[in-house]
Amino acid sequence: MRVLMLASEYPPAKIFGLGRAVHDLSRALAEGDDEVHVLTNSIGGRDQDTAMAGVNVHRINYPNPPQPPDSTSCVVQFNICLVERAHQILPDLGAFDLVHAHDWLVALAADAIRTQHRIPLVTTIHDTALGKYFGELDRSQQYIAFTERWLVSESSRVIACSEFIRRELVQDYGAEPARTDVVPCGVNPSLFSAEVNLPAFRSVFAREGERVILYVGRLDPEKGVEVLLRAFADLLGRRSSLRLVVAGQGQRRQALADLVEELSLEEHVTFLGYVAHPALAALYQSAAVVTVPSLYEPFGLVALEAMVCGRPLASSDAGGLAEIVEDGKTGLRVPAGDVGALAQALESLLDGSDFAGRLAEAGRNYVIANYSWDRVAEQTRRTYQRALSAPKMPHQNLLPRRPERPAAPSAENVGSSDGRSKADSGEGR
Amino acid sequence: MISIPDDGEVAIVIPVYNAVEYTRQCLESIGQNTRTPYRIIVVDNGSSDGTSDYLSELRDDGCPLTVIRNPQNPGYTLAVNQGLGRTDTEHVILLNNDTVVCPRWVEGLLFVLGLDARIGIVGPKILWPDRDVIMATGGMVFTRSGCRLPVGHGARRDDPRFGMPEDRQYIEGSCMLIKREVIQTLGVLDEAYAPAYYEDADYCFRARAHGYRTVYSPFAEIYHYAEVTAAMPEVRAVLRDKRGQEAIFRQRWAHEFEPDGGE
Repeated sequence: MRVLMLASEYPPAKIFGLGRAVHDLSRALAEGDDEVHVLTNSIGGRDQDTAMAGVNVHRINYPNPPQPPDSTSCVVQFNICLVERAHQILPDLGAFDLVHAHDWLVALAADAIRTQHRIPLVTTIHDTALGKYFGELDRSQQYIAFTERWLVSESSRVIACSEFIRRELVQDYGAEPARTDVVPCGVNPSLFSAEVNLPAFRSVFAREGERVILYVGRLDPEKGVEVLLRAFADLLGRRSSLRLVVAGQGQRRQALADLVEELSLEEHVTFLGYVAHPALAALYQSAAVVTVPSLYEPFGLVALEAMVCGRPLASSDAGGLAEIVEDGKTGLRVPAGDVGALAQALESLLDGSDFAGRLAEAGRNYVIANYSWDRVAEQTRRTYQRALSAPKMPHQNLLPRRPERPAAPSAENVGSSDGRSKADSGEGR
Repeated sequence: MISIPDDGEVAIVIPVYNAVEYTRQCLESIGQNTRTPYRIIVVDNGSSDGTSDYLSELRDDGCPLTVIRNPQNPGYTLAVNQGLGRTDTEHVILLNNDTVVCPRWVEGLLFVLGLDARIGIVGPKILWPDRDVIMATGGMVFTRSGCRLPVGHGARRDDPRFGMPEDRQYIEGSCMLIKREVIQTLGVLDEAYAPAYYEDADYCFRARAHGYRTVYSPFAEIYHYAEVTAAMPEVRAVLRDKRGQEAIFRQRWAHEFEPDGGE
């Protein structure tokens, strides 16, 4: 099958982690019989089209980016660039079987390309604005939610990364359950096998003898890092020689630094900013416990990473985490936002007890058995087959209905207008 | 498989002109506070104050030291480039001789370099000598003036706002870790800036234009006396005016500057 992937980011760029998942999926598909081309953002300076691990990567050409006044306009601008690039490259590449869009950021371009080339659109939704943004949505968040809904309704098939997201899509976005599949993200265990001189690596951010509690993820409100800091402060009241390591960056960085000061945790918390492989692997290996305290979590990739590294895991029960972490078997799961319960879970895993070791081992086996990229690629292929056998015509649900009109006076006009309208509805121009 | 941390040797390039007591203090701090294997490359710009004797003694004592001696003083930029030309290690650190490095300074720089393959240049937390106050954590450049603004200037050493690795527009040349790939891509410092000033910021802007990140590490600390050489009368006569360097820099990079805060 020939697949054109559209993604807002692709390695080496990383903003939300989406690019990594698209890359791993594309590579796994390409290792089968599929030919995968990825159309994605520029990375500044090194924008040649390349083949990465069997995947053909095409980047938009953006030499003098205009400066749109707001994020919404930026996204529109970005999509125009994607369409322009597609227009340049597609004639030489030959026909594709389908377009696979990842999230709302590429919705406009995905729709334009599949309309022009008359091929089905498959969309993966990795998270939703309605779930992610707490409280009332502001205007640009409303625009995201609207675009997501439109994209979902326009797609031949929708892939949700978890049952949790599938429920959201069906209940809140009006997705047709029969057109919606669940395919998780995978984890690549070999990414986590870096050889680490742990004492030397740790010595930069932790004192000797300190046990490290590790958080990896964006510093955004829905990630629950405030809850974690409070739980950590609580824990420090009872235990000593602990260090909390926070790897990631985001909107709450300043607020979290303030909270660290307010709770007098300066001596015990280390912020690392964004950490990539292979240092990320070293970081997991340095941790006594990994924690995922999310208040909202569409999937829970960090939980899988911690498990594949054989680290004991204390997670919340938000969203997709409830599907991944089996409480008391592959990790400990506490109610999202519950400071006391999180502190207790962390404490019971800290000492490297047999119990913690058993959970960690069970977690590792579970992830290796269920979240390989080969398996994910196979599930994705099944969705592609379904999309090809029942393509959805563009704008089927949104097309305005033409009111009944009396027949036009001229016979010639009637004939040609009938012909055109048949072509319109049939091919969906 | 990549081994973390990288065990390779680090080259430390230090241009000097007189001020042997500062140089001694600097090299002694390196000897005491560096665990990673290293080689020091001192480019002596024609010192006449006993620097030469001191360096010979040091080398005889077994310090991994290479000395390049210039009969005359070609200035900072050219001296750094001479030193860079003598390195082939994966990691190179440019260092001023009026600095004192703190424990784990190299490891703290390498650690942050290792956090992301896109990071090409890393700088430390630079402190005022004998005080727990920050002089700079890298910096940014403002429009019009092209004026450089050190970030964190005047904050206390353990201020949590400067406790996380973060991107900066430029890293101070007084201590700058560069990885080989960047040197292969960019070459050496631009000698249009000779004898000195703005070559470090220019190098960082070039690196960023090639997609590299230039990042501050809170895990590496140095003290910096600053302008020890520049304050010498014979040097000051040459360096009095940086307007030429400023103009080149502004002309090249004005489109990248942060907008003026005040307007």
